[in-house]
Amino acid sequence: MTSHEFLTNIVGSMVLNIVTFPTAPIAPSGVLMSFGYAIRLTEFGETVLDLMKRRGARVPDLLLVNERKRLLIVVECKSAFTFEMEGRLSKQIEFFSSEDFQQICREIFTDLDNLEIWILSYAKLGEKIADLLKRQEIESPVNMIVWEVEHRKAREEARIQKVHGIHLDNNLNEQMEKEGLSCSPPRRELLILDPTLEYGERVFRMGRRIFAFMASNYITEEERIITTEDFRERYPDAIMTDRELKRCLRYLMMLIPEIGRFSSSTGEIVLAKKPPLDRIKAKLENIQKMTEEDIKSELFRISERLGGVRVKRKAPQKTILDKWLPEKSD
Amino acid sequence: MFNEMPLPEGYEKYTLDLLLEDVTRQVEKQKRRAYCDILISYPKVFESLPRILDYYSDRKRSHWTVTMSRCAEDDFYVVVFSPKETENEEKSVFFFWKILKDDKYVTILSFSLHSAAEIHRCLDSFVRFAKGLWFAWVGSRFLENFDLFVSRVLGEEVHTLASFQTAVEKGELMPRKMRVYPLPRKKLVPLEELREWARERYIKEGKIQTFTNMRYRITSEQKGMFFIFSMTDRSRITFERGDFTLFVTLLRPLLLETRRALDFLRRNLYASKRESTVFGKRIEVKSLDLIESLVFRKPKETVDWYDRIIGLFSSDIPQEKLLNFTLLSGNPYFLVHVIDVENSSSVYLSATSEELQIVPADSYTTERTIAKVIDLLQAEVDPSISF
Repeated sequence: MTSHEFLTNIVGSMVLNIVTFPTAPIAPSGVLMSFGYAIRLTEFGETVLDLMKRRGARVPDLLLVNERKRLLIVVECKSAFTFEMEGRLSKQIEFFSSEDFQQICREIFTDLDNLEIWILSYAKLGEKIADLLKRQEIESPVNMIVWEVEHRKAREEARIQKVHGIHLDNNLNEQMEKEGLSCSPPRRELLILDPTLEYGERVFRMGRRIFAFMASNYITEEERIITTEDFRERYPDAIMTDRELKRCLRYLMMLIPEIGRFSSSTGEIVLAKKPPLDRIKAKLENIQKMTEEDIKSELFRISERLGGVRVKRKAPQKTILDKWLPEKSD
Repeated sequence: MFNEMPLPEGYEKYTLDLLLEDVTRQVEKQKRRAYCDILISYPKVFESLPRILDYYSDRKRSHWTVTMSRCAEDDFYVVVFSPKETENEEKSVFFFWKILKDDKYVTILSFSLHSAAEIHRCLDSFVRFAKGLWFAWVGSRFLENFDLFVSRVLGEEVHTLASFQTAVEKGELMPRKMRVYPLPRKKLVPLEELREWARERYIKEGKIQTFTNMRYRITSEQKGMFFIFSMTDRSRITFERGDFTLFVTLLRPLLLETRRALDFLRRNLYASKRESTVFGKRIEVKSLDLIESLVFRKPKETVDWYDRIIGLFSSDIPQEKLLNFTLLSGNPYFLVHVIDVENSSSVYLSATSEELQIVPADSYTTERTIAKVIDLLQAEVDPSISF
């Protein structure tokens, strides 16, 4: 789990409805749930992703909703704050504040009126981000909040304080002004793919899940075939485009051919009849240790060996954005 | 009736009551042992059981042809394992199954008067083969506190004595299953004594004792009950002496207990999805509505809680067929993805120095996977972990 993902998961764990067995003594999380916040995992579709890419933005780390207050929250997590990140954050904010993004949100969440951006970072970085917002005088029509997370390792809890902005939700604002929020560490990977994850980690995660599919006393002929729909059904947190999912699966099969074979046309995996689980486990652990460069060179080496596989340059995608969006006035 | 192999004559007219009377007679007069297993399945799996039996019979490796026929009453069946090769004059082995259904699970009460070895060769082999069919879990702590269960069901005046059959003692290097006789063999003592002995051993030597099979003697003068039987942590009962018809008064609450355990062991992740559109294209918006977790708080007397959990789950556990991927360790807590190779399900296990949580990694986590993890935690981390 990367430090960026840890932040994402902290927000996630505050809105997840985790219920324990009745005799369990504590309710572990869900502090933001009491304020009416819930998590929404949404695909944006190729067109929106293309638009984001063109504007130098990426999909939000998380989306929360508060249906009572008719609020949509875009959560951005920053685990570090370098010069490069400053630029990226500015572009993200610019895009999330844009009329285009608001229109997209209105289309997806028809019953929500207001948009708010929460930027979450570790202690001492929040002030820097707040400074950036003030310094750049980003005049956003969208309400912006900066939160800081402080880890209290001895008490195994995370404390969250607001360092910038005023929440549209009065109750939450009051709570943040007074004492902030606290939660226990997250207990699971919230999403299969965090948008900032590198391919090595993506492949490792998908591999673990496919591994859980195939690990069984025996698998029937029917169970040997895993479609992308099967995968999404079993893992509701798999929020990614079909293209992305297929790409990850293809890389996985290249790196660990013992799992089975992957059909690019149908997007199906046909699991091996008698998969050598020990060998697959060892290879997955190896991927866990590899750097992104190692993964790339390994994929390249395998492609060379196979002969036929070449990395194709992506052709510019034809979109129908003009039809949907008003022309950008700048 | 049971001597008339291969199939009891007139089984079509056979009912559960007749079976119980017959078993009592066999146990009392011929000093036979009656075996009773509690099997659990899902309604869907149970519906396709005839097909599964056919698959099992058709396998080359399979030694048996298995048939299932209905007896005189609803949900009461005879299951016959007939040997494929008759050269060795091997006889058929049969079981009577009483089926109890609810919306989530099908509970099968399997009765047999064959030997333990024969049952192992037939029923155990079939259960290993069939996906979605397993022996009900009660766990070591239930066996250890069986007297409390009995007094709750039959009343305070009932006298319960117990002795070890087999126990598992975890060594420092490798767990080993061994017979442990701290008391003279077959000597029956109150369970309180055994608990005290195990507790002292844990406090003084730090050794955790888990029980896989215990033998009990239950006496109630007031109710005219006398039973001797043994039970495993997977709820296999070997009935040695007593009135089997009366034993049902104990069996029924035991079924409820195993059913309660299933609710505890089944962990789900509920997600809802709705469709929306963006730029005219349909997209899915999902919401994680509910995640059912299990939380265990560290008891005061437990030592090395966190280190023991890390030690246990940092690497694979081949004997339990669990493969572990450590995701976070030590800073600020321990998080591991545990994949159960046997049952095709996985969980996230996270621990801090104060608590431990088990959260489903898939849409659902099978009962057997959680039972395995709890058994391990009981044996290696804290003996009081249970449901």
